[in-house]
Amino acid sequence: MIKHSKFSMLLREPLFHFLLIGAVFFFVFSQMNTGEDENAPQIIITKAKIEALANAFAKAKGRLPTAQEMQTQLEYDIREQVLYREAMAMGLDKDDMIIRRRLTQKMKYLFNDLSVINKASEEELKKFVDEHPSKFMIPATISFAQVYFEPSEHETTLVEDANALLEKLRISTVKESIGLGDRSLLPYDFRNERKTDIDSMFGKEFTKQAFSARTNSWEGPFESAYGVHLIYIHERTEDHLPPLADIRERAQREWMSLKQHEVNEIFYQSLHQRYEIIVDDEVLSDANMSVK
Amino acid sequence: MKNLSNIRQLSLATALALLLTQGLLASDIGLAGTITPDSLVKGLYPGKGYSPYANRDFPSNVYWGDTHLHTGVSLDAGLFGNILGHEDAYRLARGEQITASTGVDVKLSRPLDWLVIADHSDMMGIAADIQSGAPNILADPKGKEWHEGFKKGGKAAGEAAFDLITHFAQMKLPEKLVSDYSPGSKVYDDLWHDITKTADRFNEPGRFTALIGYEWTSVPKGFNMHRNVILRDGGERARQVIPLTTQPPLGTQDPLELYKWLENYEKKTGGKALAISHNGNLSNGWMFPTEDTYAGGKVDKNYVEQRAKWEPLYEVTQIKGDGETHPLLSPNDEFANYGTWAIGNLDLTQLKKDDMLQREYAREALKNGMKLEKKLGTNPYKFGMVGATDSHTSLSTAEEENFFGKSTSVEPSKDRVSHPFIKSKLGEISGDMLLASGYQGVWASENTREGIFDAMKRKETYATTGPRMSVRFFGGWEYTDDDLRSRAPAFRGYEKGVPMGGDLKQAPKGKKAPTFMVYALRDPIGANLDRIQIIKGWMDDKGNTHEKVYDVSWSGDRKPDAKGKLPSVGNTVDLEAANWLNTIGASELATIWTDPDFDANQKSFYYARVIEIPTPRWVVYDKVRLGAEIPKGTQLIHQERAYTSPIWYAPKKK
Repeated sequence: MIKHSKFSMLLREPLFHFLLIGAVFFFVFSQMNTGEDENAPQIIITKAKIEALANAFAKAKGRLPTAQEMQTQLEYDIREQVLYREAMAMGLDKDDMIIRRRLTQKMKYLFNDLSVINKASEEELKKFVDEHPSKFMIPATISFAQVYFEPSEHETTLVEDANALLEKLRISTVKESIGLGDRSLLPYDFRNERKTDIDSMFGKEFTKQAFSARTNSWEGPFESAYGVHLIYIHERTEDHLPPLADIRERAQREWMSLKQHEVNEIFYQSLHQRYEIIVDDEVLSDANMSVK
Repeated sequence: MKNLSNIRQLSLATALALLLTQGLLASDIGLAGTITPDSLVKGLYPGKGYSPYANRDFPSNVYWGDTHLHTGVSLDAGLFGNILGHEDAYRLARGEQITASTGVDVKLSRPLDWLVIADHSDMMGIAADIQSGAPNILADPKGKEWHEGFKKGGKAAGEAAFDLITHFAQMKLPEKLVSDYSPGSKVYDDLWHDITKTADRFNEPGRFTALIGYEWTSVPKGFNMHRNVILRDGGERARQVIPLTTQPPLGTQDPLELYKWLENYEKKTGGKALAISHNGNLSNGWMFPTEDTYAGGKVDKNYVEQRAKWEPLYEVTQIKGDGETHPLLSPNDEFANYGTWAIGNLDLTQLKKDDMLQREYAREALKNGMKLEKKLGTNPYKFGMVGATDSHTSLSTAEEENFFGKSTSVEPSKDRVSHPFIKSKLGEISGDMLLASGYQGVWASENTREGIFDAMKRKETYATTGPRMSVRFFGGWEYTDDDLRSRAPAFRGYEKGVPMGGDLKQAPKGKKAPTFMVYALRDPIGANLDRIQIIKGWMDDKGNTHEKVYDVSWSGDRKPDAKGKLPSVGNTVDLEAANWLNTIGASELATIWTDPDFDANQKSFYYARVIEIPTPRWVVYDKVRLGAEIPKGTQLIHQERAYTSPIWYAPKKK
């Protein structure tokens, strides 16, 4: 458990509040050099505001602000308020792409937040996994030894040379590749490698062959991005769906993520329905023109 | 100077001979008395048992990732129309197909192993104010009613949404709800909360690593001083702080303040953090200061110590240009002129002057770092190499044939190549100059937050301009060709020396010059390799710095001319088909190289540069696939590359 840190304790200290508020009053009054106007728009500094500013400062800087820093914070905050309100009054927010996009984003967050998605029941979860197996599939793995043949070392006899060794290996008890074939910087022994990893190392064609070749026997020659290989597959597992117990948490997350998207779409559609979409006549006639 | 095919010792014939002499292939195979692999191995691994995996304590895998991706959460990215968030970015990176903001389906050729989403910290507070108040909402009767409606889904949810919106519009929200969602409320910083939670959700140790980070986008007067912050830790620690911003009153443009933030983060949470700067090429001489800092400070003892402590890496290549070196700084380097963007600052309000270059590029900074170390006791620019995208599309794409551009507005389209990246009264950085770059290869012991972060911290990383070639680089005093011939040279690499990012150990008695083991495999779905080079920088007795590029391994039987220049590898690019052939170059290159000009009294550094054969740039794919018109003068063909972190040498202190 995380205990309340010192500064958050301090934030709760009445004396600290007193000092802060004192500093603020000092600042506010020092700014009040104009005559009083009953109808002047108001910017009200609340205790919550002070706390929020102090809190933000503390989180960013790792310490509490001094009175001077607090004053700077407030000054900025007020400046922003004043300019923001004047700008709004002037209608500067209208058709501003940044504001539009930002508010769109806010709506999305609002939806996400308000729509607390419940976890799936056991049955729902089972069904979900069955309907989306690819999301949870454990990729096939393979363990094998490989013997490499470098094309430039064999000129026209690459495949022949590989086949010659293959025959000999097949009647031997050798199951490892140590000391065989040509030198390569490729690893010669692979343990429990995922299909996708073999794919990124050797290329698609090789992977396909390695995952369909016989196990516990020398096989090949298979072509890769580098040259030609003989392989001895010690073990191979197939793509498989793990038992629900092993993936329950992940399945829940994926399920909730999908539900969230669905709910968002429902929200949007319910709002969209309130609008009548009118296509301007001019657009229609343009469209007709272009169809012709 | 040999390439690998020259040093292959055990050819097929010898292998067979070996088997035969040991009686292995006799017709009585399978009977008792056949040899075990142990006897075959004898002599190959001195001091080791048979299993290469037992007791292995060095990183055996290179993990690919991007430290610098923006999503729609970044204000500028959103403005350009990026509607994808963190979840989408992780899904694409881990190999899923998603739909880009422009409606086009997109998938990576291969998944990445890890990702840092580094959205701009400024303006991250947005939307925060309406986030995550669920328990509070439930406390209010009206809120509860909506909540129930949403839960039911379908029509009821639609009605609830309608009701909620109506209340919003009429300012009739329950007071409790309003106060919960006001700026400055307890939930104010909850976008950060959300970001860190999503990272935790997508972080799957051993499979895909989601490192938490953000970009501190300091750009005083358009001078690019950006840094990405990366945390080693999970959300629980990350949420104890909020990212540092640059806008007043809380934010700051001064890197020293960022270092304080990092210090505070570690102290407060017990976690670990680092920062990576990028695009010195757009800083107009301020990225690697040697005298004064832009923030008004001096490059003094404190500055160099802090920078060395917090910035172990530099992002040397990305979409906004390549920052290894510049032709004016490295006139003898025939590959220096690669995507440098030496035009001006980020918004082109000030043009470039030649004098600025020396404080902008990585190689020169590595050299100046030695000077500063002499003067101030610490080398502030002792960094490793990072390649990243800085893409603002939520799509970490760095391959020429799958490049989704810098921002959503320049995702694949027929005319994107003609959109200027930036245009001002002073000049233009044209759209075709964007680089489809880059990724970072990290040699780590495991694909976890700790594994990746720790490898970054020890600089065991390298940058590429996009292709995923495997590159190893070791420095020591006793490497021999036999080490390279061993079946797993990395064992010897670690046994007898240090990997990329390390410091050369002191020379054993009798050893006059350091040796380096370097080898590279091409990207399995990419282009062959032209050559490996080692770039050396050193400081002479007078304190002046120098550099030299050595070709150390190359394909084919090319011979350097009298001046030592290696003939070009050739060119197989077919511009009509956007294709090339791997009929030139080599799929692997490797060598042991001894510094022929070594002086034990001079500080120096060495890093490897691996150059691919020529391939088409992304613009050519646009032309072939989309029928784009390529502006005159556009570069069509290039040689992609990898830069390893350096290995440093320092004379023994007397």
